[in-house]
Amino acid sequence: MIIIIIATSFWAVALFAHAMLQPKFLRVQGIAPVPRLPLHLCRIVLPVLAAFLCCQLDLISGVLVWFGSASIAGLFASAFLTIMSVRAMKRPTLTNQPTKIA
Amino acid sequence: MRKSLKKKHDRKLIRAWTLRLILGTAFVYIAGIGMLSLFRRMGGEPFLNVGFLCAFALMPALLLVIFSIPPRRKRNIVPSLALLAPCLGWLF
Amino acid sequence: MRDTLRIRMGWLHEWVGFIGGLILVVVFTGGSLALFDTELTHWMQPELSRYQPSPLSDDALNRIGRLAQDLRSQGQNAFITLPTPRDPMLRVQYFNGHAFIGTVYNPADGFPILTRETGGGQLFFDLHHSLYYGPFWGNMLTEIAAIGLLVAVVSGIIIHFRSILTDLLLFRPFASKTRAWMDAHILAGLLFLPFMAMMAYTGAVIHAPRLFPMFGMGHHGRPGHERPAHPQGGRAPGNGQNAPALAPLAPMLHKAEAVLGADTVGLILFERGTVSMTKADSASFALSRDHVTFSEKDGSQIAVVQIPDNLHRIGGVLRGLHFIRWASLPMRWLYFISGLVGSIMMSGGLILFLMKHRPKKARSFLFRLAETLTIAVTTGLPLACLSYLWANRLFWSDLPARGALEIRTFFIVWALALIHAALRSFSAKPRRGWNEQCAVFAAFALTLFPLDLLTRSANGFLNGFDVYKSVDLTVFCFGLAALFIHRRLVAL
Repeated sequence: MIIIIIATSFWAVALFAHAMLQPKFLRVQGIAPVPRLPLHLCRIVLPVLAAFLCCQLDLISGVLVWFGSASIAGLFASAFLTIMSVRAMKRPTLTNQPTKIA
Repeated sequence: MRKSLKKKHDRKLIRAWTLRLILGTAFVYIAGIGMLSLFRRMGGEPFLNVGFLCAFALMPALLLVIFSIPPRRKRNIVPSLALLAPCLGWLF
Repeated sequence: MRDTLRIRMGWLHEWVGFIGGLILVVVFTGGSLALFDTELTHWMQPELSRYQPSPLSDDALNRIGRLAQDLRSQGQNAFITLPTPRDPMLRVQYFNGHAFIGTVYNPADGFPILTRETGGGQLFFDLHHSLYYGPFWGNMLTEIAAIGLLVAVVSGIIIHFRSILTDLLLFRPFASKTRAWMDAHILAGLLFLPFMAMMAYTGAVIHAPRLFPMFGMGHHGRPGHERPAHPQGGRAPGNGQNAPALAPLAPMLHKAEAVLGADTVGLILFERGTVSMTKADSASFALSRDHVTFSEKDGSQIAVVQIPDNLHRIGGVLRGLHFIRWASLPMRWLYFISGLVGSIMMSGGLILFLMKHRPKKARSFLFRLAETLTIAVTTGLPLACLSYLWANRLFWSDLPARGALEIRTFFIVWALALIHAALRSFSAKPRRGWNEQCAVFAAFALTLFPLDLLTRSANGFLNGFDVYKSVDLTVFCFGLAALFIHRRLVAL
C-alpha cells in the first residue's frame, strides 16, 4: 500500500514537471517560463525511482503497480493543473480600461 | 465546391469507408482463421494458445492497415503506413 | 471532407467507438463491479455480518462433504468452496446457468447459516463477460466489442499522434463544452491506455474460442478438461441415485495441501467417483486449476494434475492478469478505479458522438435512438445496479426465488430507464433524461447507508471498517458525484 502511494506521488510530480515543460500549459496557466533543468530531471528520475520502488514487489505486481500508479497520478496532476488554470483565469488582469474607484 | 456537390462527395466517401470496414472485417476474420490453422498445423492444440495471442494482435492491426490504404487516386502508401507503424509499435 | 488518413481514422474511431462503446460501457461497468463480486455478495447477505471469521475444522469439512454428497445423489452438481480471506465461509454451491449459488456453512462447526438467496456480485461478472446473454452469443458480442476497443484505441492514437505527449494532461473545463468533453475523453483514454489495451486484449484472448468455434478447446489453458458443465439447473445427469458413501474429506485436503502447498486449495469438485481438491484462483498469479484427485470411496490419491508446460500456462497467465483474483486489496482498487475511468471515458466518447451530430441530425429518428441508448447505458445502468442492491435489502429474506426476483428488478429498472430515456430523447428537452436519472441515482445512492443500517443486525456495526461500510461509503461517493453532475446540468 505504501509503495503504491509513494509511486503515485513520484509519478504525479514527474507528470506535473512534464506539463510545466510544455509551452501550451504555461500559456494556459498564464505563468512565466520556469527553469527547465530541474523539471527535466524530475521528469526522468522520478518514474525510474517509482520503478525501483515497484521492483520491491514481485515482478507482475510491480509492473501493474507502476503502470496503474502512473494512470492515477496523471489524474491527480491533471486535477491540480486544472485548478491552477481556473484560478489563473479568475485572476484580475491588467487592462487599459478605466476602472471605477469607489 | 457547391454545397450539394460537397454533400454528394461526402456521402460517396462515407459509403466507400463503410464498404471498406465491412469487407475489411470479413478479411480480418478470415486472416485470423488462417493464422490459427497455421498454428494448429505447426504445433498442435497446445500451440493454439499462442495462435490466439497472435490472431488477436493481428486482427485489429490488419483492419487498421486496410483502413490506412489511401484511395486509388493518390496512392502515397508509404507516409500512411509510416504513421501507422509507430502507433502500432507503441501499443503492442 | 477530404480523404486523408487522419479523417479516415477519425471516422473509424467515431463509428467503431460508438457502436462498440454502447456494449463496452456495460462491460467495463460490470467488470469493475465484478472485481468486488465476493464483497458484494457478502453485502447482499447481511446475515453474515454477525459471524466472525474462524478457521476451518476437519469435522466441519467432513460434515459438509456428506451434505454435498447427499445433494449430488439428488442429482445436483454441487461442489464445495473453502474459506478464503475474502470469503471466510464454507459454501456448498452449484451453477444455475448464470451464477454459483448455494448454502453458507460455518467453517468452525459446519452448521448452516440462514442467509437470503441471492445472485450477489456474480450478476456483474455475468454482465461483464456475456451481457447476461448466455455464453455463446453474449461472449461473442463482448469479443467483437473488445476487438472494436483495440481498433478504437489505435485509431484514436493515430488521430492525436502529434499532440499525445505535449497535451498529455491538458483539461480545459472553461473552454467550450465540446472541447472540455474532448479533453476529458483524451485525458482518460491516454492515462489509462495501458490498462484498457491490456484488458481488451486479455479479455478477447480468454474467450477466443467463442469467436472461432472451429478452434474450440473447451477449458483452454487449464489442465484436465474432464469437468462437464451442467448449466441448466445444476443437474448432473446420470449422477446416480445410488452414489457411494464419501470418504472423509479432511484427510484428502491435508494430502492435497502437502502436494499443492498450504492454504492453496479453494475448491472441492466431485466427478465420476473421484474428488478433486483444486487450487484456489487466488493461490497464484497464473490461474492454473491444478488439482489432486482422490477416490470417493476410500480417499486414496489417484492423480496430481498440474499444468504440463509454459504453452498451457499462457491461458492461466492471461486469466490471472484479467481476473486479478490473486492480488491484494490495493491492487484490486487500482483495477476498480481504472475500470471506472475506462467506463467514464467511453461514456464521454458516446456523448461526444452525440454532440458532434446534434446540430445536423437532432430531429432524426436514428439520432434520438442513439441518444436513448446512450442515456440507458451511461446513467440507466448505474441506476439498475443500485436498484439491485436496494431490492436485495427490501425483499423479505424468505421470499421464494428471491435471487431471480432481484435480477428481474435489475433488468426492469434498466428497461424503465431506457423507456424514460426514450421519452426524453424524443421530446424537446433531451438533457432532462440525463438530469433526472442522475437525480434519482444520487437520491438512492446517498440513502443506501441508512438502508443498510435499518436492514442489518446492529451487533457488528461498530466492529471497524468492514465490507458493509466500504460498500456504503463507495456508493455514497458515487451518489455525491451524481449529485454534482445533476447540479451542473441544472446550471447549464
